[in-house]
Amino acid sequence: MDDAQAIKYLKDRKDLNIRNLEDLALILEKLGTAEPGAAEPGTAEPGTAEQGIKESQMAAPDPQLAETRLLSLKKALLILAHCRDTDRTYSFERENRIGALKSVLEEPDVVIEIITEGMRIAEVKSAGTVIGQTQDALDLMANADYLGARKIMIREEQMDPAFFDLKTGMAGEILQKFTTYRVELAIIGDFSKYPGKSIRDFIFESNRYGKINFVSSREEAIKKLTKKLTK
Amino acid sequence: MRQTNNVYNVPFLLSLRIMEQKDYILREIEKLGMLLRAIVTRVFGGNANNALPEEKQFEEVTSALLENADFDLKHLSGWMMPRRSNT
Repeated sequence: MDDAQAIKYLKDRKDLNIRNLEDLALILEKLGTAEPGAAEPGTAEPGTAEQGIKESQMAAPDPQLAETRLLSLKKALLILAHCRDTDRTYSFERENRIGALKSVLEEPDVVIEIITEGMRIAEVKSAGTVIGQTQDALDLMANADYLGARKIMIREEQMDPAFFDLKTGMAGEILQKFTTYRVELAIIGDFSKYPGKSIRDFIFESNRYGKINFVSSREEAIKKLTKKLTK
Repeated sequence: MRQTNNVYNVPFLLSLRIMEQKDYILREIEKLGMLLRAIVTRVFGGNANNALPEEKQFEEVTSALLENADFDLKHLSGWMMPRRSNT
């Protein structure tokens, strides 16, 4: 059953409210987690029966069992994400569980770090592409805002290469979001490798406006983002 | 054609029926909630750390949900059920 079918199956059942869905996800999390000592009842160490999942518990010698566990964890994540999408109430506990599941399933959330340079600047630390579409940019802004930062530093390699191909329209669309939500952005990298006058003009115009900055070093990014403090 | 003389207040009866349906759904939600929490306690040991052996957990959870709530977790998850160990 794929994800869409699974969600439909859950929606069709009238006896699954958010609480029950979360409990169901908990059961799947527990099934997907190798509990040390679970094979021999009573041997588990105290305090290991907390809700949620621990990364160190993924060891599974049997490949079939490992596959089953993985599927359980994926479905648990799907259910929790569905709860998040449908529940009107934000739940920190649920978000923590989603984060833990994502890290186990190697779908890490964006890691951002606040660096204090007179104001709060979020630096994106995650490996790989962080902004691949407009929604990623919105998520990043939301995460940074949650940490009290409305200025973000990101590296060029954390942007989808299509971003720098102006014909895709991705750059305009994403940067428009930053402008709309008044979040300042500094993109660090070597942009000289991108050919064409249009991208150079785009970078020049963005830097001139000052809200979206294309810079060559982290230091320059901090300088640009903190500069506004004196204005 | 046979005709019925409905002497009852139909909208009132309908509203009663809707209320009954809502009550029924609420009871079903409550019933499933109790079952799910019972599974957590029984299969995974709850806070008592007396979980079932790992190999039995999948079967126990699946059969408990299927028998008591007609909920096909195996189908939902797309599991291949783990082999039972001989020990």
